[in-house]
Amino acid sequence: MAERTIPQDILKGFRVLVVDDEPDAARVCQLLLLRYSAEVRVAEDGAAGLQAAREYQPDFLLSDISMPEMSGYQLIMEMRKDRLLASIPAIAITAHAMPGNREKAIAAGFDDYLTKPLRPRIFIHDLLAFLRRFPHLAERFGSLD
Amino acid sequence: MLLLKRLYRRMNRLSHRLMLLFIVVTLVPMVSLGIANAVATARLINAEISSRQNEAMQLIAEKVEHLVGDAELHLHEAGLTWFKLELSSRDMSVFLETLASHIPAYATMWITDATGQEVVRLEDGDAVAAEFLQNRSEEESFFLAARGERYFSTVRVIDDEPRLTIALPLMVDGELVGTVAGQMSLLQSWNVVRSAVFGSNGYAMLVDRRGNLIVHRDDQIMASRPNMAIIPPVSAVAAGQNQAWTTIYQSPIGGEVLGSATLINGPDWILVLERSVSDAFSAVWDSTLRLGLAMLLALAVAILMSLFFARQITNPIIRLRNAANRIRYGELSLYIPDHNPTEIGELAHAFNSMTASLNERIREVNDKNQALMAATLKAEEASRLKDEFLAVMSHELRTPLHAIIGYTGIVLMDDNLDQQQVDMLERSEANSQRLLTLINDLLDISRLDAGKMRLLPAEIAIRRLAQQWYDQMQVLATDKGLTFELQIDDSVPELILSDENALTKIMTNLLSNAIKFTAKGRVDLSISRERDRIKFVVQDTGIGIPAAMHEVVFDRFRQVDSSTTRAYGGTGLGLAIVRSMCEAMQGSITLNSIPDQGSTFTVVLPVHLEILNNQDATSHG
Repeated sequence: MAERTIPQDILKGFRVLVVDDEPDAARVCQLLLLRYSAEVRVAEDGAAGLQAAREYQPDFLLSDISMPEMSGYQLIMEMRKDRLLASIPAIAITAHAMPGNREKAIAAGFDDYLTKPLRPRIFIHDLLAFLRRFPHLAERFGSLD
Repeated sequence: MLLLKRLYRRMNRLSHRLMLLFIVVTLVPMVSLGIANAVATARLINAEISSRQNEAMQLIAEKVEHLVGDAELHLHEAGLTWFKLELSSRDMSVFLETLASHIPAYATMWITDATGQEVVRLEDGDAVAAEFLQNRSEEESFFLAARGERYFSTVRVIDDEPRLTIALPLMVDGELVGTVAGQMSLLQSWNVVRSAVFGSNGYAMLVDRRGNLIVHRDDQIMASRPNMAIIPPVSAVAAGQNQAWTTIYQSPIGGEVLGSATLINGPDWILVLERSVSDAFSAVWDSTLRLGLAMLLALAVAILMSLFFARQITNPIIRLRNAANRIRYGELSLYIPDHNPTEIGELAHAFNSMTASLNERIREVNDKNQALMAATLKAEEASRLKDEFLAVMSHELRTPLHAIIGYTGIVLMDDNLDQQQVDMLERSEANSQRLLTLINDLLDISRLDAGKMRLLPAEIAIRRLAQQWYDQMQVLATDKGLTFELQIDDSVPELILSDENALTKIMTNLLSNAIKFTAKGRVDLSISRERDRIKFVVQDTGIGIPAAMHEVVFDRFRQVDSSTTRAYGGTGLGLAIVRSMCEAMQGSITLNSIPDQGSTFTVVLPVHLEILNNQDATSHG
């Protein structure tokens, strides 16, 4: 199948920040990204995520929306205000699946929006397709790309 | 009448109209009665005035006629006596002197025999000597008297005295024996005429048949010798209408006058009485003036009274109108006094009842509104709570499902699993997927039920979208070894206007169903145009659906039989959602199926081709 053709090291050297207050959700993302050789930092809410983003300067961000302290909306808005973090590609990954949620996320500053639950095989596909929209990231893909 | 009608129409106040009516009703009979009365009175007064003037005239005429008649009688008697007694000259002179003293009217008098020779003559009361006696046979006076007629001369003024010469025949036993004549002094008669007074400026005069003025009390008028022949009474009397004549005319001596005339027999004088019209009719004017004043007074009273009565009638109406206006502006608790015993009171009472029931109604409506508002708020709150609940439920169900599907998926990526482990994990994944579909279907159903399925029609490149469906489903069909073909008719336009998400949901649902229930053979999706609608046909060669179930399959949680749920999976909500969505898009879905041969689902949707075509036309033009 298609995912078997994705090289294990395709995300080698990529630094990813995963923000989710739900440990299992964060863990699933982390495991998947690690499987494709990315470096992953996990933060458990928006505030921690913002601090981590400043310290860690990730290549891209995967963030939940509903979180205590600081929501994903606030996080992305803060990041977009920060010159150093403003251009980091970001995907909202949320269990909010009501109409209008997508528009709200995009308006807040996310570049894309995915609804939980995610099937890992499809998610990695979608994620790579997303990263190809950013040439400076796509050119760093490992192996075949 | 027309003017009154127009005036009435232009009056926009009831009181004015009533006033006009009242005035018309009061004044019309009053004025007509007044005029009739005035006319009758004037006639009566006129007749009275004429009659009185006539009487006065007759009186004067009689006096004058009497004076002249007496003088004539005496003259005749004296003449006859002369012949009958055959007196001697001496006796005669005594007789004559006696006579003269008895009839002072005659200053001069003579008697002739049948030939016209004077037999005796008296001058200023004295008998003239025989040698001075004259022959009068050539004179008109003798000529007429000898023929048996009476002779009256014109009036002559002798010694400042007006005199009338009268000559009469003297007959004895039917035979003319002579004539008698005398110069009669008219002073006494003239005095009668001159002194006649009636009204404030009435006067009498005598004229002869030719209209020459004989006597009038004003010497200046006498001196001016006016001819009175032209005045109507004189000309009438002169023409022989010997009767009292009273009329109004322009007199040469007195302006506009009421004049009368009558003939004085004998000397054939015409007695004329004239009196200025203003004087004659001053009584009429006075009475007319009084009547006019009375009518003016009546008019004033009528206006005042009509105003009063009109106000009596209109004031309550005006009060009602004002009250109605106040009610209109919300003063619903207003009470209108309704003790007026007439219809006005009834109207006021009706007003009060109306406001009361209006109040009642408004209170009812308000109560109902409040209840309705409360119910609406409650319903809105319930709806909001339901939405919130659904959102939370969706979120809370997805979160653990995310972990399950995620972990399973990652484990499945491990190349070191044996086939049994892979199978179990894949079944776990498939069941999780089923659970997710159920959650999504429940959300859709809930939204469709609440009418909250938001449709956002947009321009869709239908060929590209259909290709996406095809690509997505092709994998599943190929996995089952089915032929899957997509056919789009040339009549289908490039762009349609529809909601892409809803359309995709409908078509993927139908296509995945077709693939799911077809074991071998083919699945076809064909798209064509049907007038202003687009027809989507999904045809398979699957197990088919018995006719009895054609309606039922669109019900919720129903599949053809419950065993299929286990055999084919699925929630039983798919077709129910598809039908609800088609209906939400003002389209329809129909089913044709023969068991064991296959099913055909036909979806017809309006896609607003005309709007797009028009845009096409304009953009190409």
